[in-house]
Formats: sequence, structure tokens, C-alpha cells
Amino acid sequence: MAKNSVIRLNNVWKIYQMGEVQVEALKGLSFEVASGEFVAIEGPSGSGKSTAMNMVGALDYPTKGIVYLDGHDITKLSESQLATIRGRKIGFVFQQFNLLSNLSAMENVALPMMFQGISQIKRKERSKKLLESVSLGERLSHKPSELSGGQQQRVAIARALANDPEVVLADEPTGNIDSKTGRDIINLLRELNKKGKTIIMITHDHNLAKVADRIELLKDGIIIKQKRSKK
Amino acid sequence: MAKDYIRFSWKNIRQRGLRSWLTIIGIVIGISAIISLITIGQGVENAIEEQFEKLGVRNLRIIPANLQGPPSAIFTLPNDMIDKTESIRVVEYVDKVITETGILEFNNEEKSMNVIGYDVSLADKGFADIDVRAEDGRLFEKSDNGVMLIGNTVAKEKFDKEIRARNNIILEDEKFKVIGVFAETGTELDSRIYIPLENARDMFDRPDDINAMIVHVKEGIDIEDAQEIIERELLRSYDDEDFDILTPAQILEMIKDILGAVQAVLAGIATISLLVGAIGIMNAMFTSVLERTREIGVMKAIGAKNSDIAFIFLAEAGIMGSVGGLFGIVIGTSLAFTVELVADALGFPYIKIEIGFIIIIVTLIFSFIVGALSGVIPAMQAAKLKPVDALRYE
Repeated sequence: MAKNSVIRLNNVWKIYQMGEVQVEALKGLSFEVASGEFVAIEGPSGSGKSTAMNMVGALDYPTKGIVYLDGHDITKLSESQLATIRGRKIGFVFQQFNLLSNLSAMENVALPMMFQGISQIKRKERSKKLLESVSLGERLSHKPSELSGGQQQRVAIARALANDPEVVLADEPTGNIDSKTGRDIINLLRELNKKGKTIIMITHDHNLAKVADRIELLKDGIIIKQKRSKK
Repeated sequence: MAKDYIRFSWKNIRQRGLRSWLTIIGIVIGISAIISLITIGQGVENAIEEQFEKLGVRNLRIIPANLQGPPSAIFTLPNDMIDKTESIRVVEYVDKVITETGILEFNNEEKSMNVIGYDVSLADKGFADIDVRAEDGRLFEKSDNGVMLIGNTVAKEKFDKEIRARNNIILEDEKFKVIGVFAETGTELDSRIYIPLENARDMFDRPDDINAMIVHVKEGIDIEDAQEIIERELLRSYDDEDFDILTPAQILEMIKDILGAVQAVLAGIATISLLVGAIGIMNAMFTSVLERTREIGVMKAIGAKNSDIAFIFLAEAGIMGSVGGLFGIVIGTSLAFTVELVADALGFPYIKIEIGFIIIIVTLIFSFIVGALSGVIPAMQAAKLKPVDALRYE
């Protein structure tokens, strides 16, 4: 497994200083995700889920331990190097969609490509194709405020795919949309997984987590249980 | 790539609409003030230089020491200095004048005027040497007494009725006969009246002194050599605190110095208004960073480097500066041309506003730099945000 692992956490600690008190959000988290897997990190609120997502997504440095992203030890990378690798290797899908409100759907999808220095013509071409692949070909120039929650999340998924990353990291992707639309979004993620994308989903919802190949159950900053799906 | 970021920044500026314009107005005011002051100042300077060329360059002026600006009645030269000066070998002849202010009465109207007492015995030489003619009537003759020459503007514009040669006129309760009106010269001569020196001495009770001498230097003698010789000769009898000898170039320099000081003060005020504009941009950018904290987090998550974020905010500030500069140039030059027109309408047709290509380019670059500099600290603040913290920001 180690050979083709995309993300590996090795005894990762994250300790926050909250005034006088030290909060240990992660206490020696270790797990790895292989290329092509669909993994759910499940945990109740306060379990260190968000912190785990920050580590997995290379958004932050651990206090202790090592995070490998595509073979790079991220603790040895500068913020800018990390940003570049993150932009290339990971696509983020957030609970609040986090689209830029003054950009059109197409411009939102094109944004990650701009940060990788891809030409405008290629950006336009690819973002159009991506939006068509999530059935939003008719909504290219709509602003986020003109789209429904489900549509916005599909734009976000298209954006996550912009730089053709190895991993799509989805943080409660259905948290802000109704359950039927939520199922569509999950199906979209599964489809992507079938096409070879590695999916990491963070959720508190066990029913949602069940769609993954593997569930890492997180509690008090540490993996307490690992379950393989019965599929 | 910079082009993409600039387009992105431009979108953000437009998104904020009215607020962006209000920010930009600060720069517009500063730049338009600076541009109009520079161009008007330049126009006035050119006007003065032009007038000096008309006044002749073969003359030296001897004026009371410590006099700043035009001759006035308070600072005087003693009469005996005239003879002493005339006896110096490089001197052709000396115009001597008394400068006073008097009330001129014509056609039941009264106006305060600059009055020059002028030596009529030199009339045929003095006016000819500076190329002044009479448009109506004649210039002074040797035995003239109780007569008056009138500047073109005085004759035509000061009173409801135009003053002409052979009109009678009252100066300080004494009757004078107008013998001539000067042709327009474009100099301050247009707004003066001339009476014989002896009449002026009686009228203003000035038997013993004069206000200035205009020394006509002999042909073939260098004007600065002449200045040196006259100064050396006069210093035998007088103290160097009694008089100054100025060449036209020095007089021009003196006026330019005064003008320069005035311009420096005005430019200082304009710069303060630009500074206020710059602070406005800085404030707007800080607000923008705060409002878009989450957006910055998202951009960082999807691959924006710190330098990308910094560039986006710097470009925003720089663009606002440039747009402000552009409008400032347009408004500033319009203002300058308006001043030219108004001055012309008020009878001062000498200011010629010229807008150089260079000043436009320099101002545009300058306003961009002012804007971008105002954005440096906010941009650094934005770039420094940690993606996790920024994403959590509500």
C-alpha cells in the first residue's frame, strides 16, 4: 500500500494554544490513503475532524509528526510551495461551497487554473467542459447567488477538478443542501471515484460515510476504529 | 499571468461600485490639484518671461536695497545718486521714476491708480528704447507740464467711458490733460499712468528722492560688466545697504523665486490632499481584506501562493490610484485651461497653459505608485493570513 499512497499521516499531533489552555486537537493521528480509494473520515463534532481535514488537505502544518502529500514531507515545504502542491494535487469541496461571489460559475472553476499559470484560452475551454460534465453547461455565466445550493456545490466540484488533482477532499459536502440533492452530490463523487479519483470525505453522518470503501472513525483526536465497507 | 490578476482585481473594484469610486475621488482631488497648480504655475512663469523680453535687456535697474517685488513709495533712493550714476562712463542715460498711488477722477468716477513720475526730458529716448508707442495722441516732450500718458488698459477698461487724448482728467484733485494713450504692451505698463517727474514731486511732496532708476547702458558694453562698474562707483559714496543693482535676468530670477515659493506652498497643500487620498485607499483596502478574508482562505486552499494574494491586492490599490490619476489629469488640465480663459476675460491674457505628454505619463505612473504603496500593508496582511484561519472566518 505504501508505494501508491497519496496521503500519509504519521503520528500527527496538533496542539492549539487557547489563551492559558492547550487544546490537543489531534493526538497521534496515523493513517494513509491509497490512490483510487474512497475514504470517509467520520466523527462527531469536537472529534478533531476539521483539524484532520486541515492536515489531510495540507492547509496547515502539524505541531508534531509528519504529513506526506504525494511523497513530499509538507513540514519541510514553505507556505508557497505548499500552496502550489495543494493546488495541483488536491481539489477542495466545502460544506459552504465557498465560491467567489463576484465571479461567474465558469470563472470560479477557472480560478485554480489561474494560480497554476494556465493560459486564459485553456482555462475557458476546460472550465466549460467541467461544468458540462456536472450538468451545468447552461449556467456558465451565472453568479453563485443565481444558483441553487445543489448547483453551487456542483460548481464547487467542477472547480475541485480544475487542475485534475489526484485527491478530492470533501468536507461535509451535503451539509448545506437538502437530502435528495445531497444524494446527487454523493453519486457524483462516487462516479468520480469510479473514474479513478481518490476521494476523501469528512462527515459526522454515518449513513453518508457508509458509501465509502473505508471508514476511519475519529474520536478525541485519534482514529478509534477502521471499517471496510461491506460492498 | 499578471494580466490575469489585474483583470481579476479590476472585477473586484467594479464589484464594490460606489465605494470604489468614493475611494478613487480622494486621489482625483489630489492629482487634479497638483496638475492644475503645476501647469498654471508654468503658464504664469512663461508669461513673466515673455514680458521681460519685451521690457528690454539693455537696462539695469537700481532700486532701494531690501526691496522685494515691484518698486514702492516707501523705499527710496536719494536724488544725488542720479547725477553720480549718470557720470559713470558706461552709462548712456538714466530714467528716474517716482512710484506712487493716486486717485484718478474721470467722468464722475474715481479709481485708484499706479502713478509713475517720469523725467520728460528723456521721453524721446526712454520710451523708444523699450519700444513703447502712443496709440492715440503723442508721448512726452521736453517741456511738458500738467500732462498725462495713460496705459492702454486704464484708458479702455477702467472707466465706463474710454479715455482719449485731449481729455481732461483729475489726479489727486489736480487737473491734467491727457496727451496720449500707450499702445498695448502686454506688460504692467498697460495699467499705469505717467505724469512728468516734477509734477509728481510736487503732488506727492517728494522733492528729494526717487523710487528707482533704469540705467541704459552704452552700446557695446556687457551688461554684467556694467553692473559691476556701476556698483563699484556707487559704493564710493553709498553704503551697500542703500541700493541694489539688478540685471533683467536677476529681476526675473527674483520674481521666479517669489513665484517658486508660492508654488511650493500650494504644491504642499495639494500633496496633503493626495496623502489623504492615499490613506483613503489604504483604508478601503484594509476593509476589503477583512471582508474577503474567507475568500482569501478559499483562494489559498485552491492553490494561491502568498505572493499571488499580495499581487491581487496591490494591483487593486494600484488600479484605483491610476484611475484616480487619469481622472485627476483630465480635471486638473480642464481647471488650468479654465483659469487661462478666466484670466483672459479679466484682461490678463498672458497665461498660456501647455500640457506636456511627459507630465501626463509621469503623473499616471506617480498615481499608480501612490495607490500601490497605499496597498502594501493591507496586501501583506492579506498574504499573511493562514488558510485555515481565513476559511474559518465568518
